[in-house]
Amino acid sequence: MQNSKEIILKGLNEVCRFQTSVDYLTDYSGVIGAVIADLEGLVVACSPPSLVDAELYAALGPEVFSATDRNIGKLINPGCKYVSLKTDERWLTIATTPGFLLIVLADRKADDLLNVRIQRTLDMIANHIKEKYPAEVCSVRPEPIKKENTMEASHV
Amino acid sequence: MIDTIELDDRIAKCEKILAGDGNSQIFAALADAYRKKGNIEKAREICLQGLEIHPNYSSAHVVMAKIYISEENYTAAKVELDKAIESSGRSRAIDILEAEIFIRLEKLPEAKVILERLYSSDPGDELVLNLMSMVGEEKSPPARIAGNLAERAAQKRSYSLSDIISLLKIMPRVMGVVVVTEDGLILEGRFDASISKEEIGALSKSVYDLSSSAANKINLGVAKEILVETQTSKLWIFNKDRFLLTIFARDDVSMGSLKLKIEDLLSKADLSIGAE
Repeated sequence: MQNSKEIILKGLNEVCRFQTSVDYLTDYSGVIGAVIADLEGLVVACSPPSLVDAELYAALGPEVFSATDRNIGKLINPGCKYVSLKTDERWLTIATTPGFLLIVLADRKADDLLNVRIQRTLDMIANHIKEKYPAEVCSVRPEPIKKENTMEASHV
Repeated sequence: MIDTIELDDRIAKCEKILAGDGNSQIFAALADAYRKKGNIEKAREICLQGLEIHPNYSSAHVVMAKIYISEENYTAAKVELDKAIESSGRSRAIDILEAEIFIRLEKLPEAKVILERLYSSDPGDELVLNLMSMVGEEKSPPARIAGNLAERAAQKRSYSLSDIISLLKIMPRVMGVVVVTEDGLILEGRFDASISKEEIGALSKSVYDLSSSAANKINLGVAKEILVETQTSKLWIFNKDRFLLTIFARDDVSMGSLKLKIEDLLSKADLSIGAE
């Protein structure tokens, strides 16, 4: 039986592995900040921790992503996996990994090899999720079929 | 100049798309085509119907503003333009239209402020220079710009928009290239037979508007380049101020060589668009 301290430490370790992933990104020259958000727009990890507007980016990520996917899906095919937007000054990337979004804000002049680092970060996140939350735990199991006119069917 | 046959062709294509999908945002392009053809009544009817379904579609509000300008109802045009700005922020085309409306409403100081800003960001824009002359601010392209123009003319080769589209289309794994105006109207495009340039044009405009709106919300500035990747394809959109250049390619396209080609062609481009 785990005591509460162990559970808290274990939880912190999980957060840290997400944190390691975003820190790996912000090490790269030109990267201003990176955020991992869940599909509801909540911040899971961000780097640097003092990143201003991390919650705004986290909230905006799923909104932009799902709307783009909806638009693209009407004509081409669904399954949008990467959106990159460049302005005169900034380069914003939103990329997906199952269950999470990675949002990266960089200087416009950051070199294109940043894409390689983003891909590696996505792999790190995906591996972490795969290890920690395997498919048999995360997937929704079908409800057992209940026979009609049984006690179970009439009471459940 | 867009001729009547071309407009009729666009109208037919847009109507076909709209018949297939009543919720399509192509209605704005259809309404604008009718406006350009002179059928203002029909343009207004289509645009208003579409806006009932898509009340936040910025391009449709811009088209509606142009329709009101055609009817000389400048106050209503300004209201529509404000809605467009509220939906997806400002763009150069919107600023130019707003300046024109202010001039029509005889609000010259407001028009001058906008035009000065536009002039400072692109002193060679003839449309802005013409509007400035209407408010009594005669300006000519500065020497630097004039020099650049002369330099460009002296270059052995410059590419028209049509050349650029053709040259990009023949790149390996590129399935289509299309140029769309700020209001969602197709200027020109080359696509593989199975793909409709009207559909990709409308798609790229709506993806651009969506991303621009998001960029505005986090104060990133004007979106200049957007890349969307799916499992099987890539959509690359470039904002060239007066129009959007969109490249639709397979997912295994070589982004590096495509980027080099785009930079090379755009650096040698003569991007003037014929007056509408």
